[in-house]
Amino acid sequence: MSTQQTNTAAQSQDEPRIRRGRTGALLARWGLSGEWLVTAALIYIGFILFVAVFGFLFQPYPHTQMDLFNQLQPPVFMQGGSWEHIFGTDELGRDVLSRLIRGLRLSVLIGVIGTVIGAVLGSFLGIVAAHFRGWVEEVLMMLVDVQVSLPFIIFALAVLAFVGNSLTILIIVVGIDGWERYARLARSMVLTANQQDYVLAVRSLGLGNFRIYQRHVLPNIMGTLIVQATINLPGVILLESTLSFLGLGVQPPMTSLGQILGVGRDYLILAPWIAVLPGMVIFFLTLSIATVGDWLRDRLDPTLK
Amino acid sequence: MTRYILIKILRSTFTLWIVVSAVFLILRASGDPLYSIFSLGTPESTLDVFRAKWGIDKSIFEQYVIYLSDITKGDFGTSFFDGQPAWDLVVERLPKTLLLGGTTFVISVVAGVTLGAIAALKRGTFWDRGIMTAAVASFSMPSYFLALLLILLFSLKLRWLPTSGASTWQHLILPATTLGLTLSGSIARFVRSAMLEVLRQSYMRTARAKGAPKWRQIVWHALPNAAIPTVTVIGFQLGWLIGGSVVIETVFAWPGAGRLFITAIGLRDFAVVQMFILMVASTVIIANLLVDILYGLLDPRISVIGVKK
Amino acid sequence: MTEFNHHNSVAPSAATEKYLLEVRDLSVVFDTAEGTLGVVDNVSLKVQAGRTLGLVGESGSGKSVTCLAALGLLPQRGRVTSGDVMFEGRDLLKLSEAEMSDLRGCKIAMVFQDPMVSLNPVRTIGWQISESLRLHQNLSKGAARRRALELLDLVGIPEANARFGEYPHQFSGGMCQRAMIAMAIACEPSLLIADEPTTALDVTIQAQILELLSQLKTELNMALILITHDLGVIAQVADDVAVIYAGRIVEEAPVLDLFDAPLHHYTQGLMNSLPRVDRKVDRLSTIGGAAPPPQDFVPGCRFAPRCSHCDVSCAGERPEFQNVGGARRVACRHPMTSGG
Repeated sequence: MSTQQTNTAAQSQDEPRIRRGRTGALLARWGLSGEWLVTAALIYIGFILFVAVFGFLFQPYPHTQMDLFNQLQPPVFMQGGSWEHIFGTDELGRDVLSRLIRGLRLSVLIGVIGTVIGAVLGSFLGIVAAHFRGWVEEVLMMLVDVQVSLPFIIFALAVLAFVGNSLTILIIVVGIDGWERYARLARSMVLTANQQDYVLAVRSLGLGNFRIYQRHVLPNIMGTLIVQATINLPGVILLESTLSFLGLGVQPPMTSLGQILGVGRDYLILAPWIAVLPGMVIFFLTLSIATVGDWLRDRLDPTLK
Repeated sequence: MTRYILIKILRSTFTLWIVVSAVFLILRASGDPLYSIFSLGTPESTLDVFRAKWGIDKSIFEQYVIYLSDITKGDFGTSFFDGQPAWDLVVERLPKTLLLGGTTFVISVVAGVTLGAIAALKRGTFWDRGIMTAAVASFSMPSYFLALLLILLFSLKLRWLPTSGASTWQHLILPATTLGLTLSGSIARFVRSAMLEVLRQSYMRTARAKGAPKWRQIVWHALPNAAIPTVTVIGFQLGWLIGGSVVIETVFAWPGAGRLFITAIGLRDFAVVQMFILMVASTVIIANLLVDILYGLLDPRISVIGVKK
Repeated sequence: MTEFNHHNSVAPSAATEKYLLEVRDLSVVFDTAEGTLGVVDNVSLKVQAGRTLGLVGESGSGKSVTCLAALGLLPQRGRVTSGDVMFEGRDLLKLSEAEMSDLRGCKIAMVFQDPMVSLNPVRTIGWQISESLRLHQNLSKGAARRRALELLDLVGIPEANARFGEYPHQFSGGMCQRAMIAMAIACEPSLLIADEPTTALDVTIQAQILELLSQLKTELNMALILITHDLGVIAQVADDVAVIYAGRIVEEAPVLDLFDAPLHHYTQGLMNSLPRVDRKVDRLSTIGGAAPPPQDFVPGCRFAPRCSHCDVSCAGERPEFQNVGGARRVACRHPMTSGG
């Protein structure tokens, strides 16, 4: 009735046009006007990416360089701090800022690669299951059941402790996390897509399976999968940081944010900055990605739960 | 109905078997545990005695068959480390884990459902935005970091609460808060969207048109409907809660099964690790079964559990 | 209670006394992202006790919103900006939410369009009917159950005892609507508002439900507001008719007069689109164009863009809703001459 009509009419229209400067116009083009949290989150993510990629250029010291005369020196904004070590030093006199920059790089790297692995693996299995149906699908759904029945962090801890933890194994383990979500999503979307008229039509034209998936099915489900990946990314970053915090993730001399935190935990009273700074960086990073992920989902794919 | 439940139980048992087997194979294939238990230079002859004693001199396949047949007899293996039955070690730690997990779970469900419902009812207001921002923040926060911050504030600075251990009820507060914040955040978020979905249904207007007071509309008409999807999600969160409690028990030195697990993986104590994983997987699987049954009880449209009419 | 109110109501003119419900100059707006939309514009309606008012208009014309506003059931973004709704000497718009709750489902009840989704899926039919009784009549559980069973009988649901404990999904559409009606009449309201009660139902069931409503109206001596887009339905059950277009009442008349000689061109258009047995029509004529959404309302007569008789004067000011003899009123500068 009229209620619904005005409702849809309201949704189809954008915000009322108001005078905006150039920044405003840019924000509007990206659908960001009024979304201050999302804008701030995007800026923060951009900053983190920049530091992760180019941070080594500004890194004041090598992250492993010890200065045994300046152990546990507070950051510049605390009493006793100095500009020499802006964020202070740790228990071995290593520069915390330098370690943050290095740790951030590895955390972001593992998070992103891990997410890509999970997304590709899961989506591939999901598509395979939807394509072949029958026992292939049965086996896959059973694997999903298995994955769901064991909290992933427990599995990851056991594997890393027993099998050993090189960076490669860590990335693979972290990458496996969440594959079942993509698999389920891809499977159900491909099942739907395969029923669609245009897919049936191109199939009847004799187009090969690979071409059909590449040209017609994948482009249609890609958006949803990417949104799902954005939603999963914070979880992957948190998983890596937790594993490293517990000492089973990234191993010295390499460092990641979680690992710095794990070390800082022992100096919580004497030098809280060692733990608090990387924790804040992680928290704002996952918060920003989650905020952007929600925003993307609402904009691109409201069907996704 | 009975047949359906039977099939479900069979399937669950099968899943459990796969989990146990997979973990067994991955762990046993990872190399000889004795080298990490005994110091270097221990004569091979001594090691062989222990290998024979613990049955790890046999091939992996033989070990696997023995392990499975032992399980059916109720023998879950012996800890390499202190020679006690793995079952006893894990079970004696369970009450503490259940205390922490149970407290967290109850508080989170109550807080999550309440906050989620409030956010939905006050949609678009300050309350809604506040609760939802807090919810996103709560599960973006690394739980161990939150734990450290709480310790820093309440134990080290204010000296109100103990940092570690489990001897008094005060010891429960910090770990339960840490776990509960994250859990209630994700529950609140889900309850909000489930409630919003329910609130725009026509039957809610019928309830108003009937003259039902506001609280009655919410408690008797909206919540029972919103509960249906929520139960599934809360069921899934149980796995998360167990995973999270492993980390939190470690940070707070809470003497539960999760901390035992972390110690055991450090010692490469096969039997204890496997026992713990078996326990966790069965808990999650049984919880999912219960959720299925509960789902059927809550939604009259489902005649046979899990099957929509 | 009623006595008391009669005594105290502000200057109750004889005219007000005559009507059970009188909606006066009611305007409703919806707040949306693109601004405020006037959905209902100075609508006035009168319902006499025991009579049936048919409120007819296309979807989106504001007919449901008018009634929802009168009952205080507007969705959150809807607001009443002017007017009052007099019922038994009280202005419903000035009542508190608690007072309205006491009234809704008791003195005024409502039946909605799609019965399948208007019933709560997780509550039994019996529970939902008993709820009305327990809310307003303080009946015990047992007494409410007995009365609910009687009501199920009354609305023609067979085997009431067995069906009492069933859920809405176990009922057919027609049976759901009967249950909705049972729920609505549970407390013997003096006014029942039925919002497109038959639209979602099969044609054969439609007639039965209309029949049931008419019969209940007589038995319980209720007034009935029947909201519909279907003049055929109006012809079957209404005593008086109000035609609504784009948020305004354009014509008001007793049912026989209206069908005899519609005065507004929109009413005529609606009538032409009705299939008739007494007249040979080559095709079902319809009005060109579609009912405009609120953001496309034009100044002056809102029907003008679709009207074949409009001229410059129609685009200027809002046409006055004028009396044209008897109980008839029309808002048109160039009303149809009788015969049409």
